[in-house]
Amino acid sequence: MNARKKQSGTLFLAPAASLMLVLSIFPLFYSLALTFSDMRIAAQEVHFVGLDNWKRLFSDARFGATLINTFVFVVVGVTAQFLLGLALAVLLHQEFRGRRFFRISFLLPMMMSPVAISFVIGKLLFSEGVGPVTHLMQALGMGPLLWSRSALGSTMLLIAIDTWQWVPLFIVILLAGLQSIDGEVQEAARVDGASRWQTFRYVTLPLLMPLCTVIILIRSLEAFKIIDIIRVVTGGGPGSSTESITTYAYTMGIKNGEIGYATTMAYVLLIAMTIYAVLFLKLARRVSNWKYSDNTPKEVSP
Amino acid sequence: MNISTLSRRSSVMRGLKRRSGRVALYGALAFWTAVVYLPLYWVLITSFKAPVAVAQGTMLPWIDFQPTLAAWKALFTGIQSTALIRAYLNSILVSVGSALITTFIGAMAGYGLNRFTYKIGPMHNDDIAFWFVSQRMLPPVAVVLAYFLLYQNLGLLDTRFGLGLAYVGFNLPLVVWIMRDFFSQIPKDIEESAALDGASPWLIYWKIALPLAMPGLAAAFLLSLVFSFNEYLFALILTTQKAGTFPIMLASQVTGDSIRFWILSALALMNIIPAAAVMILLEKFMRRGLLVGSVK
Amino acid sequence: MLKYGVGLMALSSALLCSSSWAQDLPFAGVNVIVANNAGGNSDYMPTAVAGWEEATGGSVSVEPIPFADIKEKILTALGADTFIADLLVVPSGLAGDLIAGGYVMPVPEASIEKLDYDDLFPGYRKNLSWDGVAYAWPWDGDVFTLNYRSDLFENEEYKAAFAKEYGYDLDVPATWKQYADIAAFFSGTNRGVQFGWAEVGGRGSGSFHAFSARAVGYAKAAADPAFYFDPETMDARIGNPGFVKALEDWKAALPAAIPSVTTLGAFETHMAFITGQVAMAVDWTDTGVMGNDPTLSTIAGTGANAAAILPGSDTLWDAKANSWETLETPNQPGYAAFGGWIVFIPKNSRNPEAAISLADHLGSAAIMTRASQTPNSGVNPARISTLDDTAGWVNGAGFTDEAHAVNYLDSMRNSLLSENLVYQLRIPGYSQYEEALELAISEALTDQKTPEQALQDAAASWNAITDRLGREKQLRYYRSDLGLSADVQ
Repeated sequence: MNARKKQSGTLFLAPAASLMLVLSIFPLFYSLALTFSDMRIAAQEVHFVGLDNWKRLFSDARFGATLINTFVFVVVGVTAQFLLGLALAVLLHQEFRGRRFFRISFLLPMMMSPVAISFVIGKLLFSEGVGPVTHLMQALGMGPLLWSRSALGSTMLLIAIDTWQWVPLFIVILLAGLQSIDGEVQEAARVDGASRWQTFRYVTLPLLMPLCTVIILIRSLEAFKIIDIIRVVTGGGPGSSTESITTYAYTMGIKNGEIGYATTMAYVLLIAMTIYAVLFLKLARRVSNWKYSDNTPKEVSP
Repeated sequence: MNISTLSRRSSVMRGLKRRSGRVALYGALAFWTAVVYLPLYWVLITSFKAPVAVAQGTMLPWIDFQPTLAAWKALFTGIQSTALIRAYLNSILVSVGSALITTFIGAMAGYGLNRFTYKIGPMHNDDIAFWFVSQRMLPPVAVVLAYFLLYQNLGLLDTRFGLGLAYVGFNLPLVVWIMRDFFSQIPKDIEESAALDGASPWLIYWKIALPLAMPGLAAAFLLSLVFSFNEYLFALILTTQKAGTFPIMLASQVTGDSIRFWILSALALMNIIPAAAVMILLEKFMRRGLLVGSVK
Repeated sequence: MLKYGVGLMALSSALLCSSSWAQDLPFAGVNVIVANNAGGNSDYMPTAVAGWEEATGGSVSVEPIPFADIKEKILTALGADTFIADLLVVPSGLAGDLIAGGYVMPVPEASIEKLDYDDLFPGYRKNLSWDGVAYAWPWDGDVFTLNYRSDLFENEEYKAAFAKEYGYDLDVPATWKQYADIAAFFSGTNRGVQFGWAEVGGRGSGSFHAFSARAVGYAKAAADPAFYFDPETMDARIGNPGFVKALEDWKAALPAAIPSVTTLGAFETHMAFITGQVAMAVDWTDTGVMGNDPTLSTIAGTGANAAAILPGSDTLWDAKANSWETLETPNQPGYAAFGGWIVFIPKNSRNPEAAISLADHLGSAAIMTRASQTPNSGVNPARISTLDDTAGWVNGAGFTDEAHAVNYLDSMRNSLLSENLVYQLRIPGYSQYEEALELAISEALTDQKTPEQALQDAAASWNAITDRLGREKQLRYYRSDLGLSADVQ
């Protein structure tokens, strides 16, 4: 590698990397320090408490439950969003009349405020007293829909709202990915007599796989932090069956003021997410038979 | 059975198959359109409802409730209107500004991580990329206090610049990751021949790679915009009078003794407008990728 | 921020050089920033301060804070000694944190004299001070009452059917048992409403208050000032048989409730009642005034929205004697849920003198009365004299006639002057106790735990919270909140 190339390589990475470093280093270490303190909102004095927060966390049964709830939200929700998003992106990639309308329409949910949509879907559309969904179910003779008193019902509703909002994320990225894939390969496959499905399965999908991995991971990281819709729609109930780590940390830290303890939870979430990300990338590499390092460049040989 | 009937039958079959394919395609599209628009329809009618109509769960304007402009009037002529317009402009400014910066430097880093080999201490390209994405793992609730103290010392509290800067930090990991992958899709042979012709890496990036990555770039920009526009917790803690944003106005409709569904819905519709406008503008860039083949 | 009086401000500063003007308008050119609940309260603030602006030449800017996040927003700023506002209008539940943190200044002697504290309902007066020192100015009060549909209760056909079915007359319920009977009678039977009752049963939406409103009848003895905790040891009482019975009866009444009751918040509860979906709602008194507003209510102008003191219980758990007591007349204490919005001036206020003057203005009887009679002001009565102004209520708040207004005002008066009234708990860390209890309520109402198990777990959580915050300190705060001497005898 020549010196000039190395230098310009540095110039490409430097702005983002240095900004990221500057913005993240203080919060990261400050937060880490907080996990060893009894910091409270508006506390007059702060003490070093060693591993107290960590010990408390591991004996906190409620935290274990929130960890499981969070995994359910991530695994079920993101899987549903990915499958729907992929299917819709493939549909929108076809040539047909009115494509522009559908493309724009399908992305709209992502632009809604999560808080507003939680109120409208969770509190109005699915209102158990007067919501249209209840009316519809009663008209069909199914009786009222009592989701709020069942853990499963509440979880399903939250996942449905989350899915409604975030399928567009998969659509926009995967559609852009499909657009970027070289069309010639697919055409060649078709000429060779492959069916549409075979072309998709054996040509398009493998090419799209790296992007799928990226976007599933990114969406998962967001889903791990699910908070707004839970706060609005179920408040974590019934019981604590829809409480996520972030809502629990929010309740503990912001509402109850126990910043030290809440930050410890957030750190456990960070560790859980890191493990998830590493395992997921490993798995994705195996599934798609996509060698991760292929993504990094070969030396350009003159 | 002779050959001509066989081929005729197969062409009929193909036509049938194609037609049933179309039906399935439009059926699926119609289903998802209904899924997307039902809640949006509800938002729309709620913004034209009086409180009684909201509480009764009425469905059809003029049929089971009388639409009213009260919510929209309250927004634009009521006591909140000045604050609302300022918050709206703040949000547009902060989110568009931060999304532009994020996309600009994030795409560069994504390109760099795909085309060059780095080694920072023990970290190679994959590790650096992972480090970027790991910066989005700590939930905001864990770092908001640190940001508050940092900004207090830097004098960035209640400034649009400060808020925008935080959003650049939030969204960089996404953009870097997405763009790194989009650049890996782009064939390198054109860039290689340009390099042979003596073009500088920057020129190659700007004139060749970036235009080809347009669909990804547009998507990344849109995502950054949407995430910044809807961010709440940081805006709540880091701003007071001057730099307050639209999500704060939205949250303000839920008061101790009232949820103003009608105003909330009107605000939710306003909330869509900037991102939707950007999307309509960018839609053609998202198709630019089709040109990839012809460039070659 | 709402800037009005900007012109006046400029004008006043221009005139500042003239000493006679400056004396007439003591705060000419001064802008007081008020942090307030976004929405109802902050929208009404300009009306409330107009007279003060005119009289003093000062101006007021409102900094609205979303309701759900008032606490962290204010405490984060004050905890880091960052300016947030010159004057804070906050829930009284925040008092413990603000005073214990030393962020707010005491009310000056001169203001106390002006404000006529004796006119405040005793509990609200107590709400403003800690350990005998006043820190807060009055502004708002909050109490739970029973709202019921008088038109249905007076319907002859229903009365006859009810008497036949239940063996006693249909009347305003005096016990939660009667409340449950009446609810079952009206629920799903096409008798003018769909459901029997609505309450703020949602976790994180006020179920602490809905439950407290019931539990006071079963577990608050008139002779014992304490309710939630033992005033000698600070042990939580919420796991005792009185509280458990309250929760069991609540759960048993669920089939007659509006189906969404376990997620319901205040607004949805108000609306369920005033749009004719339920026969009864146990709720804040806003419901009464909102019910008169035709844009919100389908029963406005009918006078059918009536109110009364909360139902109670004819068996009472005596926590001291550790036994049940059977009563001749039911125990019906009031419950002052939430405790109202009150005014503090932070020590880092930039214009303390102007802020004090403004707080005196807001806390005056005339302004408080007018505010509570104005629909959608977000302000409710905290002064005895406010309830005496019947004509003002008929004219200002849309009651159909004097009798209708008197029914409403009496429901508040009876609750707030009941000797056994329980006030909003306001010790430091209140939100933690609230959160733990609301979790237990949700678990019990949705069949995840028995009421007894849920409440005993919650009591254990409460004791853990108390220990974490310092049992001695918490006990001192609790005793001070009850008006007991600080030290255990």
